Amino acid sequence: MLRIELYKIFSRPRTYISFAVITAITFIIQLAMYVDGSSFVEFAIQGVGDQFDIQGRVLNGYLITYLILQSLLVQVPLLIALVAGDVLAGEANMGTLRLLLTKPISRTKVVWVKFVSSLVYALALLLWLAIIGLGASVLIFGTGDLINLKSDAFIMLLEDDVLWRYGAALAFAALAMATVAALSVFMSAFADNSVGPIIGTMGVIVVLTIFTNLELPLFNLVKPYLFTTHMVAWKGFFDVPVPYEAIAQSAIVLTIYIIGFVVATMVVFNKKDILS
Amino acid sequence: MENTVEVQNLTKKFSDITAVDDLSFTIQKGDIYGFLGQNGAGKSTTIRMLVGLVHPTSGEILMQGDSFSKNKKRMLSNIGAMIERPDLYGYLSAMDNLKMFAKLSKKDFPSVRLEEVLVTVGLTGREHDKVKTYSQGMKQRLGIAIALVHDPELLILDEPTNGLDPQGIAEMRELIRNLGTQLGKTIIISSHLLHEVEQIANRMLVIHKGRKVSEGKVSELLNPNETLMEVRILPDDSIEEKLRAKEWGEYIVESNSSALVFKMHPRKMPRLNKYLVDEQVHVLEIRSKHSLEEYFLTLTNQADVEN
Repeated sequence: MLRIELYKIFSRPRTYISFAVITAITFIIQLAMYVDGSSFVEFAIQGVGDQFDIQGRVLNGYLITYLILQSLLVQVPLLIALVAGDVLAGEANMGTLRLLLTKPISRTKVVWVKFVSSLVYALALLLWLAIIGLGASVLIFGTGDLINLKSDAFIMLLEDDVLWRYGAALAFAALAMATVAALSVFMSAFADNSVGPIIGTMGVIVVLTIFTNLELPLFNLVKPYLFTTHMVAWKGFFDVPVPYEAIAQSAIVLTIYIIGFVVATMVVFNKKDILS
Repeated sequence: MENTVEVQNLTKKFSDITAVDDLSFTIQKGDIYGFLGQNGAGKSTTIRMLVGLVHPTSGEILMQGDSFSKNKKRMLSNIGAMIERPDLYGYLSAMDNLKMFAKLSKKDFPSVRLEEVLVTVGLTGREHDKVKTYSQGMKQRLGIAIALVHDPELLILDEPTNGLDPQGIAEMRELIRNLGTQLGKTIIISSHLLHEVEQIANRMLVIHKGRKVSEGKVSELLNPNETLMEVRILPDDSIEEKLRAKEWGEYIVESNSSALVFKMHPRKMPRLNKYLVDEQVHVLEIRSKHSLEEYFLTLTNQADVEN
């Protein structure tokens, strides 16, 4: 059944919109950096230029990839919602859910397969991001040490200490995207057309991200429990030392959310009367 | 005869609306079972409960003696269903749709079965075209092919002629009749079209406002003594007067120069036909306009009065 679901997802033209969007944004960033990257780097390090003597190729593929990831890992969840929010609601809207559920397959399995296929799609998006973000940037700009400028720190990662961090960050991002996929599938179980779950997922992510970013005492209380707080933990892999404990904690929270969303979807979907 | 489906006191409530109310009926092996009711009578809800799309509020569905709800997967492997429109994946070909649902049916069969079933529904030649290019009639046929591909014993077809043109309706009826008579399938067909059930089914159930108002053999439920018979003739302005002067006058219900409708026992028809021929009237067609419609309205009106 999983093969069938993947075939359905990857046979639809809309699936490739996300790949096109990622490619376009990546290309724009790469082009901008290729044309005007040196002034961007000068501007970025002007605050620390007086205290440090920075040598070598600062504008390199690793830096560009980091910039791409920072921009895109906010957008990718929205692109995942485009497909994952459609997996159940879209079938209900098309009317194919009726036919699917008259076949000898349990609804629990339907939900599981829908979630896994959404996950595969999300992983394919991340892989594509890695290929055109990291691969193409390294090919165009070459490699070098990675400068990670934070508000309170200046981190210089040596060239041969960078690649594994990208691997780990993308692996963590996969977990974060799985959470988004699970949320989208959950929302999809309530609706009979895909617009609701797609916008719903986007809305939840936007609202919770605002909560996460606002430094207000009330929000600080709930932040540790919001999955959006933990979705950005991939950035920890570019710190020195890497905060493994905090990353593991975030991974656990995200895993709990994934299990929660998937189980809740199974319960809701099993009880649902299919009237579409 | 063995019961394929036995429905016992089935009820479905949506909040405070009772869509199906204490419904019981049985379907025997080999039946083409007509499920008749007006729009909103509860047909689709009942059909959806029979395939597990809607959960009953109370009551039991037994299939070959076993509980449907407790053996749903096993039961569904022996059911082919087309619920309302056959909505399919328009961006895939008919063959891809067929293969996909065949795999989901969890039965092993040779790939030649796909070709066979396309031949059965008369859909060969365009099986590799995308479904979005299909006419409604072709989609309906593909829907039947998908319902048939795993060779189920029970076919459940909910309003299978909806949206078809007259030729498509006639072809679909013929196809359903053949599935019953030639392939020996037990078929449940729901319809709000009264003459459709009459033409296809051997047994039928009439429901109204979610309740059963009648169940039995079509031939027994309909009163055969007073059937509407329509005689189409080449235009003849004098024939009505001649008929009214004879015993036939009392049977005339409607008339114009090219069509006459009689309400009488069908056995009288050969004699009437002979009379018309003797009077040099050119008879083009004689067909039964069965009184199912009257019968149905009588039943539902009775049910309304009783409630």
